[in-house]
Amino acid sequence: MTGSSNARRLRAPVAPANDGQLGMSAATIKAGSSSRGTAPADAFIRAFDRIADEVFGGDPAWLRALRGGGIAHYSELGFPTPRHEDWRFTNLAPIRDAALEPADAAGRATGADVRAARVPGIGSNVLVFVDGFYSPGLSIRSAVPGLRVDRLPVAATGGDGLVRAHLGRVAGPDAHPLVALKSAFWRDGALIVFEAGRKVDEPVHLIFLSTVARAVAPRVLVVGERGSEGSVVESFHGAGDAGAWTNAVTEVSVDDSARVEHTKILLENESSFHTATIQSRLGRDAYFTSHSISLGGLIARNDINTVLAGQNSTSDLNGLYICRGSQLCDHHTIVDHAKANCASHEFYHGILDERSRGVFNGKIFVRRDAQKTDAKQTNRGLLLSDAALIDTKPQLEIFADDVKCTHGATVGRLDREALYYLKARGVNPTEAGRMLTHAFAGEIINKIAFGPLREHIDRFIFEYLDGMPALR
Amino acid sequence: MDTILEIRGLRAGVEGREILKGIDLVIRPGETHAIMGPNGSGKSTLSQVLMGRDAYEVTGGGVTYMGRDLLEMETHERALEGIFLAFQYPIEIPGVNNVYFLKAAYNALRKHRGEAEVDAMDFLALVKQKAKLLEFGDDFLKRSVNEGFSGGEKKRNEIFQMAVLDPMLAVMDETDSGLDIDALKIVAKGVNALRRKDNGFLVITHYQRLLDYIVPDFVHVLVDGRIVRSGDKGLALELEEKGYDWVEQCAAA
Ligand SMILES: Nc1ncnc2c1ncn2[C@@H]1O[C@H](COP(=O)(O)OP(=O)(O)O)[C@@H](O)[C@H]1O
Ligand SMILES: [Mg+2]
Repeated sequence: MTGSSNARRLRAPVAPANDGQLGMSAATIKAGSSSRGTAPADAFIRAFDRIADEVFGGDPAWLRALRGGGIAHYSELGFPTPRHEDWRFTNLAPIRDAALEPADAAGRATGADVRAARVPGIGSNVLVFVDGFYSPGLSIRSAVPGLRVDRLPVAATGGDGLVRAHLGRVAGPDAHPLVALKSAFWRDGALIVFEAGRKVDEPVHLIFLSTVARAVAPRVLVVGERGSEGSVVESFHGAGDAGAWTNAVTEVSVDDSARVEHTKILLENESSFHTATIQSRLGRDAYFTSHSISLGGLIARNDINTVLAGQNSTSDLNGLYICRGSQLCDHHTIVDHAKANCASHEFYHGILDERSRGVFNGKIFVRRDAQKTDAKQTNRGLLLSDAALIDTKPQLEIFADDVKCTHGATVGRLDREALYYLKARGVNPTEAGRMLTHAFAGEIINKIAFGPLREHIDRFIFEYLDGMPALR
Repeated sequence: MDTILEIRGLRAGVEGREILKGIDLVIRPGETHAIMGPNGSGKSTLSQVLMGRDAYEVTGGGVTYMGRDLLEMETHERALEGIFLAFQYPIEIPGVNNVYFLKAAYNALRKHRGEAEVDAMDFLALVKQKAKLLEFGDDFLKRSVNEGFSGGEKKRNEIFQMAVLDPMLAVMDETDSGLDIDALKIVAKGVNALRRKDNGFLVITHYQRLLDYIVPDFVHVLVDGRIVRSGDKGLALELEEKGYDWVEQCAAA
């Protein structure tokens, strides 16, 4: 692909281019009693105040404090607006204005909805959440050596302290307003633990189905204990055409010498809103990889953050987003190199058709202690229409002197030379465009380690691309 | 059909600059024509104009292919109608598998002719047979189109594709450059196996050497966008002996 480099806002050229920790313990967790400015309470704070005692009243004190801290922090920050630097290109006004009520029960979902969401080759642990609530009837649970899977609210109130030790520690409620809101509102979700020294081959699949136009805040905690290895897939789907708001947070603790792969697949319908945070923290000699496959949602914002908190660790963050119509897909990444001798590799590819928009913002911090850091960030956009647009911004903050940091952003159209070559062999122009677009997507899909998952994603992306207006 | 290709007074160029300044050439079934000429004389331009590359503007003359106005046809239609161009500089297409791509091309051809598409198994059998003929290893098949191939491997891949697609009119643009003598012989063997009574070849080369192995019926010398001499294979030898200066002087005279 050809295109320009490091530009901020890139539209298809008219002529084809040659290319946390909580400091607060509230007796009551109502936001109304927390110290907050004079701003009038917004719909989300009012909703929280209304349900807090009834829904969260039974939580242990530490958890209520976590929620209270979240809503207090949110009250201070307010709902994100494009005036905040982190939200400049992604206007969440439609989410604020929709002011969806928190879902209070699972809607109707069927076995067929679940079957459509399943991944071949993953059949041992498939946990299904409908409108944010765990559905035992639709889920599959099996005992797997080295693996512990629990409902997060059950584990949180259990006595072993694991959840308490991690929850809100990886992704603190002080991150940004939506993380604060998620910390307050979450009701259900999963705890996945890869036990020390154990390798779990088959990924655990979490399926989130939305059936109603409500707000859900699922929460997932993944703990890869010392020397363990495992993989988690989270997929988000809309059953029917209700425009739900999923405001999810996944915390991943990758302890010393552990390896964790996380794959997120966003397939919600094009009237839904999705704001998700995937926050990982790595110990020494650890490896983490995130794949964000983002196709659905009217507005989708993925915050993917990783902290390299031990030496000799690597984080690989990969993403593929495909937008059409008036979809917007935003990836914001923060790679925090806190310790020496760590590597990070980011590869994000976007494919945009019609009037859709892509946003990529990649922040890399290299702290004073993080000598010998090797950080690479690549963001490429393929625009299939003249009206599509990508806003892209690298942000490097380097406080160590012996580091290697590279970043590159290119946005362009399909490569004319390659199209010509394919056509010269008899491939029709539409098919040629599809082949090249699929190849561009494939560069990201091929990074997924678990074979059956990779093949599954490849197949549905292929079919999905067939339906892109520019490739039909 | 008694002519495959008829080029009449063809003029073409880029951005107002004329490169081909009136080319006449007829290729009849069973014939192999060679075009020789110094660098920059317009050999590749001619091959690209025949394939319909939109960077070149045709400013005069015409081209008839199998009784049809070639210049009215889109690139992929030309390919579907049996024209194959072996590129001088084949490009790399990362992420598009060689065999997958070739199967799409092969089935597009079959569909165009009203024949049933072949499945992956049958196609693989065909491909393996052609690969063997060109001593083209299986690992090349598994890779992306030309990705990481050496110059010679790329050229061989072109001829491999040509062997699979079995064209009516094959245009080979300096296929010999970048090939050592052993590779050249293999490629020539592959090409010769494709020559039939009813198809035609246009072999573009800078050196006479290739023509020892792919023996042409006619040789044309292209200088500055014009064919300045035509003859039989003897002309190639004469050219080899006397050098391009000789024809350039002829052209100037
Ligand atoms: N796409 C192009 N844009 C500009 N000039 C070109 C282009 N293609 C060819 N030319 C020019 O036309 C002339 C003939 O080129 P070419 O056909 O490649 O010659 P040959 O293949 O005989 O070496 C050269 O002077 C070359 O620079
Ligand atoms: Mg040339």
